[in-house]
Amino acid sequence: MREVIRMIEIVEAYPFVKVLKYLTLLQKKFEKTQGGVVVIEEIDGEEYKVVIKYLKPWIRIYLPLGNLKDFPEEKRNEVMEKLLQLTFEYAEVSFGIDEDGNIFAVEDIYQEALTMDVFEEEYGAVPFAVELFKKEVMPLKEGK
Amino acid sequence: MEEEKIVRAVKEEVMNEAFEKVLKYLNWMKREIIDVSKDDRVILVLEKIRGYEDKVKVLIKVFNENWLGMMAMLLSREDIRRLGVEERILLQQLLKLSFNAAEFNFALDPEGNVLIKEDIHLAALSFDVFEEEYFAIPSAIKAFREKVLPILKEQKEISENKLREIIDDLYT
Repeated sequence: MREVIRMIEIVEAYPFVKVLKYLTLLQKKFEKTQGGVVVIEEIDGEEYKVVIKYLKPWIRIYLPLGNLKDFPEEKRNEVMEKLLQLTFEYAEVSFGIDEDGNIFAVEDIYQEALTMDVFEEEYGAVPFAVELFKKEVMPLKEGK
Repeated sequence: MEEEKIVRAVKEEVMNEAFEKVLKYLNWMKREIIDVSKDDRVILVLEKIRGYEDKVKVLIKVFNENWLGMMAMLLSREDIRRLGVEERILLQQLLKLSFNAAEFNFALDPEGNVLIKEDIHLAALSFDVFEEEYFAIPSAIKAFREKVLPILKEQKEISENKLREIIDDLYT
């Protein structure tokens, strides 16, 4: 019985082992954490932490970008509208907000569909989303 | 000049191959294909939403040599206005659902219509990937109806013509 449980554990951990391998192949700087992996990305000279978690059966890649409250109240609708418009306009770019109003760039990969090509494509959308966020959404902070 | 021609021919080949693959996948998945345009590389599928009687049109298009897009309309701008939906709540709920559920990508088109969309890079196009991304669409519609619409007010029908019009404009 113990062996069977061990085997199940190995099989269940396999998608995440693949993620570690892919990050290594992509030459990313990352550190393992208790719940997943944190990848350090440098975008326009700024450091960002991309979080990757295995939420069975999904691999979730996300990056916190700030909070709605960081924007003037009269601009928050425009911020949300912009996030949804960018999702429409750009392939594979996706944004979300949590219950506390934190804004995220977010991507999900179904474990059965996890290959290097898929991972590279989905992961790459996150730093790209940061660039879009800085260019298109951040100016609203200054009430522009 | 000759080189350009070759590059263009290769790109065409890549897009045609992806289009044929998608048709094959949809047949494997036994989906209800209602329209196929080989010239525009567009496929229209009628999809039943689990637990509901009506069917929703899902548009699939190979729109360049890199990307394949799939989308369905949830609410037109007109419907939003007619429903008297408070914009802030709608936007908030869409973004919350995008964050809380895996692979739900809600979006707003330039006209302000609410859509669910999925994209696949052609280099990553395999049956498993396609199947997962495709089924995220009816799941997202179901979630939208059950989790967002009750918050927004009563559900209204989306006009067929409006959907067609939007579909015609997509990715052009």
